[in-house]
Formats: sequence, C-alpha cells, structure tokens
Amino acid sequence: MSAPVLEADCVSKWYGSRRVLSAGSLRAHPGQVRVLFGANGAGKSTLLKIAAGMLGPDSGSVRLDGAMVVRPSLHRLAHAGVFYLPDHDLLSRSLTLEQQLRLFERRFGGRSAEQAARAARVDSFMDRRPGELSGGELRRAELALVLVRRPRCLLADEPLRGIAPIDQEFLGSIFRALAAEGCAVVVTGHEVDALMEFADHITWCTAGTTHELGTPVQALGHDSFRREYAR
Amino acid sequence: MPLDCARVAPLRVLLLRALVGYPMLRATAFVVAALVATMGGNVSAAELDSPPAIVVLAVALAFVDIHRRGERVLWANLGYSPVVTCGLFGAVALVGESILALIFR
Repeated sequence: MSAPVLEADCVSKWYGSRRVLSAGSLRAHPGQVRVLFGANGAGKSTLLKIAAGMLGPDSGSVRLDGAMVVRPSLHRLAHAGVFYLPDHDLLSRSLTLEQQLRLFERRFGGRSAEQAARAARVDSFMDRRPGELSGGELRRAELALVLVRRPRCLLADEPLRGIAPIDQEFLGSIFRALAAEGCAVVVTGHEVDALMEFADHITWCTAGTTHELGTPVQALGHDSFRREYAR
Repeated sequence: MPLDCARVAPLRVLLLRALVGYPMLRATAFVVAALVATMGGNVSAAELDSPPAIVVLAVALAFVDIHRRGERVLWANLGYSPVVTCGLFGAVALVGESILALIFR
C-alpha cells in the first residue's frame, strides 16, 4: 500500500467541556476508498474537518505527503489537491452550477466543466442554482465540482445522506472512479449497505478514538462492529 | 513575476461584486453620516463615512456576504483564504476612497 497523501494523527478535540475526540486518526491512501463509520456524535465529521483544515485540533497533527502541516487550513491544503465535501453548503446559493464548475475549471483546469457535468449526470441543469435542485441532484452537482477539480484527496462528509438508493449507487461509482484515477477518497456515513459496496477499507470511530478494521469483510468479522452495523 | 491567470481568474466573480457593492456602501455611509450630522449626533457616528471606516466596513460586509451565500467552503476549496476573498473588497474600497480623495481634494 502506498504512503498516505493526508493523515490526521492522534487528534483530540473538545467542544466546550465535551470531549468529542480523544485520539482519532484518519489516513487517506491513494487509490483507496476509505469509509469512516461511527454513531452520531462519535466524532466522524470532526475528524474529517480537522483533516481538511476546517477545524484546528486541540492536540495531534495533520500530515500532507508525510510532512507535518503547521496550522492546517483548507485553502492551503486545496493547493496540494485536497478537496473537502461538507455535508451541506458546498455550492454557492447565488451562482448557477455552470458558473461554479467554470470557477474550478479556470482555477485548476483538471477536467472541462462539460465533461464533468456529463459524468455526474448534471449536464441538463447547468443553468440552475442549488436551490432549484433535489437532494440527489445537488449531491451529483457537488461531485461534478470534484470531477473538475480532479483532487489527489477527497474528504466527503456523509455524501449519501438523504438521497435515493439509485443516487447512492451512482455516487459510489464516482468515488470508485476517482480512486481508480489515484485519488485518495475518505467518506463518512451511516448507510452501511451502500458504503460497504464500494469501500476498500473501514475505519470505525467510537468512544473518541478510531479503529482500523481493514476490508469490509474483515470489518464484519469484528464482533463489536458487527453487532452495531450488520443486519 | 508573471501574473498567474488561473490563480486570479475565479476572483473576477468577487471583483464584480465588490465593484457593485462599494458605491452602494459609500452612498449609504454618506447618507447615514449626513443624517447623523444634521440631527446633531455624536462625532464617531458622523465619521462612519471616513475612508478607514469604509474600508473596514467593506471587509466586514464581504465576510457576511460570503457566509450568506454559503460560499466559505467553495472559496477555500478553490484555494483562497478569507483574507484574499474579503481583502479584495477592502482593496476595491481603498482604491475607490483614493480616487474620491483625489477628486475632492
């Protein structure tokens, strides 16, 4: 396995008097889709935000290509090819989808906006604003942005939440396609069946820490994890 | 150093907003300051339309506007820090104030 592009190592985070993470770690390896499972409030999103530079950890470190990042922030990590897909509010409410795709096309020139829109099946509503899209369309539109960017590392927070199974399956195929291009993909979520379908590696976030469970098959061999997630 | 077109191209969206927003901010500040002055208000309120106040207000309004439009993560994913995105509005206000100072000197 190649070295991780991005890692958050042994990070802790307090919100006021509540400790959300005590020693959570996250590694994004090129060509892999890693899924981070965990109950609500277990610290999945916090860990992802710390890795993306959206939140500062109270302790622990973030490393990019093995080098420690001092005061990580998303705009700095973005230059190195990191893309953060939050659970909401990625797209501007006031720009059309085409305008937003063009921003990334002009800035990074990865894929053309048209190519990405076709690949994400959003080419028929390029002139719409996010407020005019359904949940599944919105998620596909966000992934079109990712496709234009062609990131080295994608951190996606609950991308399958609240969308139809057919859209979940389609998003999964895009994550797999990104990994096939060498992108390191990390996804969080609760949709066990859908996420297990396209995951290479499972990380379980529980009690403020993370456990590397291995492949989906290996994860289902873990007693506590199976009790919580297997049907 | 040559200007990196790819680096600045997306900022045209913000520049356009700043060019529209600055005259509106200037006019509003002028009217409010004039009203305060005619009503015998205090000096600090009347200084609302001083150039430093306008620049600070432009930066603050840019920050609010970017949040209102839900664009914080979008610009960060494009590699722009809040200093750049909000600073651009401040820079436009600074240039505008300088031009006004030259005209009304």
